[in-house]
Amino acid sequence: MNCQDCKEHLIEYIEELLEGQQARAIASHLADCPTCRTEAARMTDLRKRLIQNGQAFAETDLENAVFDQIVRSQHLKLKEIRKTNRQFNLWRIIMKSRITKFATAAAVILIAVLGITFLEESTQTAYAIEQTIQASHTVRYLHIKDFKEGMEEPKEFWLEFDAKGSVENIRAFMPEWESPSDGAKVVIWRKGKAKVWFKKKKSLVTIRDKRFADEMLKTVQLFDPKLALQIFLEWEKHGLVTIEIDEPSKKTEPIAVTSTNSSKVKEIGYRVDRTVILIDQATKLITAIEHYHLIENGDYELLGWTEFYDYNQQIDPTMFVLEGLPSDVMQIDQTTQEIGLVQGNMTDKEIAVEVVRQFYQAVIAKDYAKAGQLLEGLPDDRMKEMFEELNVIRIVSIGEPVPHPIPGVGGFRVPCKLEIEEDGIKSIYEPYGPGVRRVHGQPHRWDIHGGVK
Amino acid sequence: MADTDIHYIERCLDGHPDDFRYLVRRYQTALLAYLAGQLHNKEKAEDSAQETLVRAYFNLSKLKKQKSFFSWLLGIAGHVIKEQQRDRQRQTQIARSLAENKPSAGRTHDYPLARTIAQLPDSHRELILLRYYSGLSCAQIGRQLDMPLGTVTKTLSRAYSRLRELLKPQQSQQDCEVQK
Repeated sequence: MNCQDCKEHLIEYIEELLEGQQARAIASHLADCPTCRTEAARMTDLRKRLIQNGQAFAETDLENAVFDQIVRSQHLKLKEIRKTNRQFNLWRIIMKSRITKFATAAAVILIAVLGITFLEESTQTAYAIEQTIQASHTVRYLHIKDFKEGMEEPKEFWLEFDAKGSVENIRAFMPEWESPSDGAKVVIWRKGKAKVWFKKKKSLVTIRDKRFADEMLKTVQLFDPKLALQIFLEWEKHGLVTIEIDEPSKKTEPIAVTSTNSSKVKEIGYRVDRTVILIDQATKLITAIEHYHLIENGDYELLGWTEFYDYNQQIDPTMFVLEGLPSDVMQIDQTTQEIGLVQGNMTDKEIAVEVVRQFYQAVIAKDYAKAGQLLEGLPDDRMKEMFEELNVIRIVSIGEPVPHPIPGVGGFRVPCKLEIEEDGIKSIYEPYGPGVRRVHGQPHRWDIHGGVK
Repeated sequence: MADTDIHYIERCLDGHPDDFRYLVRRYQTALLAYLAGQLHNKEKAEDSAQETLVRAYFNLSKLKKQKSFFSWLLGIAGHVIKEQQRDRQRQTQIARSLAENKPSAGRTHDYPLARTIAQLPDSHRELILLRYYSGLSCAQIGRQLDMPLGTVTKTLSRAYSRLRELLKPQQSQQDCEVQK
């Protein structure tokens, strides 16, 4: 190897990217050549200086400050919208082409922020909307496909409602794009409990965490045709949207309810600008909901859409159980499996710290079975996938547990610092802060439920 | 890595602001180092980094290439810096003399290095920040910036040379001071 070759590959050598043979060739050249050796030493010094400076700046955490400011700004902006639009509550019936759509996910946040409560009996409003809400109350079975522009595979939901209109059973198919780390999954929800079949990971997990089950229910409620239109009406009442109804004279064409978001809604960070709800004229039931984004020239671009099928066509009950899965699917029941650590004589804070310590010790030792047992009983292959890239080599510190900041979660968040090594570079890594709480149904045990990365 | 940037951006745009935390965690150190290099003061840099991230959140729907989130973030930071500089031209001098220290070992902030990184051409600067301040490996950077690994290492090598050239006058100045 000559000096030119050495210089060309020096950065790869220093970054430890070279394979054995090449690395040895450079090392041997450096041993013989003082000029290249000096060059390598200078580069290594600079690299060390960069790493140290990176570590120094990494000690500052802006996450909570940024998030708090976002939430505060959203509150202020929403208050402003409510103030300026209080008097605006007119229905307009206009014969116009349909153009909008419904911000389902965004609606959840707005409902929370505005403290909206749904009325069991909706107020007297436009003819079509009122009729649709009434018609939707009779729905017992429904099949929904939720498409996202650019993604071929839709999310799919099969729903069964009880006689009062509450969701009784859910089967959901979530494609891989929805959560790349999980892969495609099938979720079955029944009486507040959820089972998830992770298809790629070949595991079926009965989820213990009530929040997961509740979130699944919330997701589905966004597609509940009764609620979809009520949300729409509530938004209108708060001046967040203006609504136009297009009722074509031709009875085979659907009624289009178009909701255009106030420009202020955009300011709070949502991209859906228009929503169109299509309603079958004969049954008054929703057939589709489309979501649009306003682009520069004033046109609307389709972001995604939801299609509603098979109203009241009974769904085979076997759809709401997960049986007959392939034999290589591993089954984990978090509701019966012993997970977490026994509290014994430790105080709540002591056990929280101990669970976190043992968890990261297991991760460092690559004992993924133990780590998984402390993290909601996750299977070890799933743990391995989660932690393979993050090469934890040392626990630097575990701080004082603080009450978990998210309301309703309970337990503690335990701040901690880890030393990780990647491509030969050691650095300090601060996970969000593992959340530790009592195991549901096993109150003498504590486990981690998230925040480990 | 880049896919997950896109994933979290999409989640934010779909009304899940909490997912912005992932993006903050991933880029805050690199952003802070860049701003500290420009503003020569850690507190101002922290305020500006916070402002940059909040502005980014509320403008996510305007981001055309979601894969280029980090370069876009640096662009916003550039605007925030200009506004800051307009507001406090006099203070900068004071802050500089107070906060700027000679490079030293350990966990103190190396402002001369941060300032020099801020002077690098965009492509070099982005690479150095992602590699040493966001902790991405060369392979991850390649995936994020759609670059073959060889291009990443060549650009990194050039960034090193440029960085050393820019640091040289500072080094000689320090050497002179030591001799005095």
